[in-house]
Amino acid sequence: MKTSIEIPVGPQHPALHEPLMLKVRVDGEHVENVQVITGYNHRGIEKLGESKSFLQAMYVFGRVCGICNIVHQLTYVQVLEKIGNIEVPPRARYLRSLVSELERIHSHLLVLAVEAEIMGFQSLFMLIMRDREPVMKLKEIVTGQRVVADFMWPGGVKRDIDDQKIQTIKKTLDLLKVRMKKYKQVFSEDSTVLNRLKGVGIIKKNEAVQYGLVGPTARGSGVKTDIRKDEPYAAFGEIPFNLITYSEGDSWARMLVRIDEIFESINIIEYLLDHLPTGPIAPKFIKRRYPEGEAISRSEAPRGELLYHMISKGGDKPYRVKVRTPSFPNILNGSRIAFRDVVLADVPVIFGSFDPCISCMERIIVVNQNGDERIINIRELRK
Amino acid sequence: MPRWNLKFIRLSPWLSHFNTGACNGCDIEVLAAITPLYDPERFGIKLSSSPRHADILIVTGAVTEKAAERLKTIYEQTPNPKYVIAVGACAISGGVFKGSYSVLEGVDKVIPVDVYIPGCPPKPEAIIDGIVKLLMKIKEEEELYVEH
Amino acid sequence: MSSIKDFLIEKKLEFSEKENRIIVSIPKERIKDTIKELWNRFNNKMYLATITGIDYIEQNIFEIDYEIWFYDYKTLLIIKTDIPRDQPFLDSIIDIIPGAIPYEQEIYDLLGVEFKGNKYLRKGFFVPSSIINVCPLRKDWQSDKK
Repeated sequence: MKTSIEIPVGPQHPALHEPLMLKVRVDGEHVENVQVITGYNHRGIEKLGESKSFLQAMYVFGRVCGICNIVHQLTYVQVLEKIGNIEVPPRARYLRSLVSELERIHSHLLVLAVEAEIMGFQSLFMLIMRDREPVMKLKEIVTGQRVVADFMWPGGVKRDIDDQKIQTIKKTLDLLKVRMKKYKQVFSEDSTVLNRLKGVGIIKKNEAVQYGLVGPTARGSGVKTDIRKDEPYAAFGEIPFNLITYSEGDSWARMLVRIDEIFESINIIEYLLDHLPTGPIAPKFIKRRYPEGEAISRSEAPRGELLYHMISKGGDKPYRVKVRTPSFPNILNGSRIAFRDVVLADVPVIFGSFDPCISCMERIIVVNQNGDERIINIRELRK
Repeated sequence: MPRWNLKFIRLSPWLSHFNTGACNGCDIEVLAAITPLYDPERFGIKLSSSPRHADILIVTGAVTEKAAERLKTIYEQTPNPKYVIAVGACAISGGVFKGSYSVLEGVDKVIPVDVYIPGCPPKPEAIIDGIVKLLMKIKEEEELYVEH
Repeated sequence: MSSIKDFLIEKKLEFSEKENRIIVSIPKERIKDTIKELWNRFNNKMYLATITGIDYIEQNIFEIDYEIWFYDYKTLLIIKTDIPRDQPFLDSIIDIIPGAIPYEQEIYDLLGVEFKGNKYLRKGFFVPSSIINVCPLRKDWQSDKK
């Protein structure tokens, strides 16, 4: 007799734009389909932005996501700069690239750690989290805050760096490079990692295109997409760096893309610090009112393409701001295609490889067909 | 109120963490606070995997209406005696999301809160400090029981 | 970029250009066919970046923007279409580009535009149950919370 059981996973997600719930329908151990329930983190930001002034909204949109707050705020001020025709001084553009790369390093380290924890590799989780702390410290040195930085102005940035800070950044990143080589070795040779990740949750290249996946998730399937290359913003048009793609399309490839990108980010930061131009970092006056206009700005967040679409009707408030976060297609569309021929224990691993950060997605309720509920732990599931 | 043996909680509090619609800023700081650099295990603090094993519920986020139902369920599932810590400006009053249609503005609108930790987001040191303050409060409660 | 322009000229569509953007307005009846032909011509060279819905209450229309990125030509094509506010219906494109499912769901939930042929549409995708009957992104609805 065939019975299928529905297992809701979540909605406790710490690091997701919408902490969401997965309804996994299983037959025995085999996953039949995965349904995503959204809305737990819907804060009505797009509507809220319409009731704030342009500068107030900058702080709201900087808090769409705490992990990628810098790139959110950067994309928002880029839209304003396009509508208001504001020039950004070169030093400010370089500093913007610098902080967004620092953010990429800490975000990628976080997902590597979380994926290790989901795999049951606790010591790797703790080690990577320990090595992530110096990067957070660097972010604090440069921006003044560990996490939510509020670093941007329309037309510039808020804080400058000096030689002492440059030396600290270089020294810390040299140490991180050594540690990252070790982690790359672990992720490409360790049998625990390979058994859990290799060949799990495969997304083919043409599916990644059809379903519009972005960022490391798409690059892991061999799609050559990176907004830093495609539509250079900040200082990325002037920096040499490599676009990293893997052709396997499985969870392992998605993690390896992130590891290689950390090396690229470290190189980018070293290049930025060596070629930092002199000059002002912000305009003398910050514009508060913007003319009528419509603009789209895109940037490469740690999780992929981030898109802001703003319509201004003049005055001091935006008429409409549309935010398309990278996790939106990656999670909602990725869940449609990645969970084929997998067993229940693979679901958290695949989901983690999309970088939604499910470190605290600890509780799972099993509902059988009579509607009885029982709580099981995610750690029991992976045994 | 029955007399709990609060010493069990004070010496080894188990935490459960729930995000009610935060921007993840507080969540990664809660996560960072349990890692080796800050080492909260010196206070016996441990992250529990299920709210049914937890003594202290750490709540972050602006409490969206959908998450509020879940928060209530999770609070009910946590065994007595239980304590709640609200982490971050959003969990205290709604923060920057105040005035939005789907936000309830504060954890204390849904469940009682023992300790508030302000900040956007608070540093891991501040989070550990908040937990330790709660542990001192528990110790005072214990002494109260002894006197009577 | 030129082959996208060739396609638009072939279809007798007027377009305007900005840096690496092409903006084209299409009547709502032709949206599905145009996107289908575009997809067949540029198969695996384009992806749907997003769909934006905007409420222009003064003109009494909803504007729906399809934003499509071409990998090889490094161009963003923006297809704009208008639908009347009192008849918020549009043909769904999910059978051509399956990646459009969540974008159409989002617009249905927040703006109340119904995409014909998308069976995944449902209310409460994002919005809480207390305001499930209103569309938050419409300009004539304001939250009573202050």
